[in-house]
Amino acid sequence: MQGLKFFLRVIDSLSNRIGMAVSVFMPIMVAVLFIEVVSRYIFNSPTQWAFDTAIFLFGYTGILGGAYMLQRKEHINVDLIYSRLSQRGKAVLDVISGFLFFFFISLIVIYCWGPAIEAITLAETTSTDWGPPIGHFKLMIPIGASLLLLQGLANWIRSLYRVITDRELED
Amino acid sequence: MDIGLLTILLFLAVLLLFAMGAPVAFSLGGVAMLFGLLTWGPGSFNIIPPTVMNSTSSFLLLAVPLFIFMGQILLRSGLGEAMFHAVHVLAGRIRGGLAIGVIIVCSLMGAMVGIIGAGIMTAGSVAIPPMLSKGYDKHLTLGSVMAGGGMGILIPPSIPMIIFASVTNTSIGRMFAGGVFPGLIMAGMFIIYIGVRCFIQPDMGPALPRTENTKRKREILIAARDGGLAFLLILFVLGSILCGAATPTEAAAIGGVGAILIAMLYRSFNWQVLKESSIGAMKLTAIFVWIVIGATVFSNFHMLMGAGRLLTNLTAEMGLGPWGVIIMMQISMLVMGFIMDELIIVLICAPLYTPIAISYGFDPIWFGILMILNMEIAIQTPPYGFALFFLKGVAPPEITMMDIYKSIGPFLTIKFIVLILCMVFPEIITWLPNRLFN
Repeated sequence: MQGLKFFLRVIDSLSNRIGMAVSVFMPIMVAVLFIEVVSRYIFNSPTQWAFDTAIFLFGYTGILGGAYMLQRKEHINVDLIYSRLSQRGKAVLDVISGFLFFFFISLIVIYCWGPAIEAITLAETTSTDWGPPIGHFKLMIPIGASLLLLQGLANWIRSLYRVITDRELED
Repeated sequence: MDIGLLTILLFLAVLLLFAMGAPVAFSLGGVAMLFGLLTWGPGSFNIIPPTVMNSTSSFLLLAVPLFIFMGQILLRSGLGEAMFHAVHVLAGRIRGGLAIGVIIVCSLMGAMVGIIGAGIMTAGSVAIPPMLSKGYDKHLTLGSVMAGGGMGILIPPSIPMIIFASVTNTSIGRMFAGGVFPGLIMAGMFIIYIGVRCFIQPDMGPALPRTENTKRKREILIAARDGGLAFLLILFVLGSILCGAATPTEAAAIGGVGAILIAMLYRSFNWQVLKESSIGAMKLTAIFVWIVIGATVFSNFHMLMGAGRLLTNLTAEMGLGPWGVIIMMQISMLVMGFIMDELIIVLICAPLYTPIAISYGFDPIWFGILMILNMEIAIQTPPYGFALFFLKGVAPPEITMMDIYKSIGPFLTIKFIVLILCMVFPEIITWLPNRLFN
């Protein structure tokens, strides 16, 4: 049991750290596009790199932030009935709906893996003039989904423990 | 499986998952893929990679995190507080002036950020306590905050409008321009209602006592500066989009830097604010991206199964005529809006409904703005409209959910009137975009 608790804490902290890390991308994204606007409209010499860079930052933030939000249970849900249930009642529903979550996110991991490997081996680039490699971005998607899957698993184990014992796993 | 039956089962399964409290993003994607497996087999999973890729690397959607970041900085900049203070000074001595001020400040904030939460959160936490202590009627206070804050998605820039434009391949600039007059008319009608109501019943919104003359001059100067700053930011961001000089994404980047400059001017910009805003923006961006992924997988699967054709045939068979179809669509969106987030409804309904509206000869921009107006009404309709819960979250603790329910009636009625006006006189929506972009 100690090993399991340690494992769950490691996942939590991984999701947290990655979420905090990608939050740094937000102001950078604004700065990158602001530089583009200034060079395009004031100096009349648009940059080549700004849009691809900004889109990469956007995708990285959104996808990798997913596990952070799942750890905090802040993904939007409709809690008409859910919020009125006991801790245990909530846990029962979480355990059941968890199966659909695992199904969907696993599909993302499995089906986005192939295109990512293909993009890396073929050295694919984006279709802009600058044309930076896009493999890292396509690889980030199954990695981000895997992190989401890990965090989902950690949450699911905690819920299952609550269902069985009606106690918190870690207190 | 018959597509009609499939559609019903699909939505029932989604509702069941929603009722279980599962996150909406994963429920939508999961239900669609489960049905895909049962009907088409594993082949339907192939829609996942392109859908995920498009949702995360779209140049149009890039404007969304930028507007979110701008809103996060503005929320913490002190501009909202300053604008409400300005309103106290300028309009406090008129009956109902503070409530009218809430509508004006919220409209201005709506023109700076594109979500509902920001207006309600700032107005709710900054404006409600002083209004109640100055003897304003509880229901008038809550209703005006709710009504004003809700205009965030109608007054451009607006995140649901960006999504509508991106899934239907219409111009964001035109959508933004289309929202301007309905927004102004709605704000105007709110103001007239509050003014007339307080004129007849002065105890609903009593006028504040006069202050000394010398002090007053100084206050007016400060108020003018704060109002001016807000106008300047709006002029830059919205002006550059509407006159076609910049794309919404570029304008949003200007807005982000402008928001930081304003925060610096109010001496409220520091490391902590930048960090909190970045985290806040990252959180909303992550929620947004995963909802777009889940809802787009759902919508793409549903369309692949032939939902568009089904709906076209169905509407033709029912013999409702063009207007009957438009009204049916709006009723369905209103009903969905009573429990769902506006982003999800736009993601699911825009690709399904818009082609049909166009085939009956309606203007897509007009239809898109009607969709936004429906969302405006639905999310503030008791008992479960989620904007009601936003307000509950920031209002003083003695305010109950019942107070909020009772406050919203007259303002919802006005929103309905604006919706009907826009249906009867489409030019309210279409005139400005046609004028600006032809």
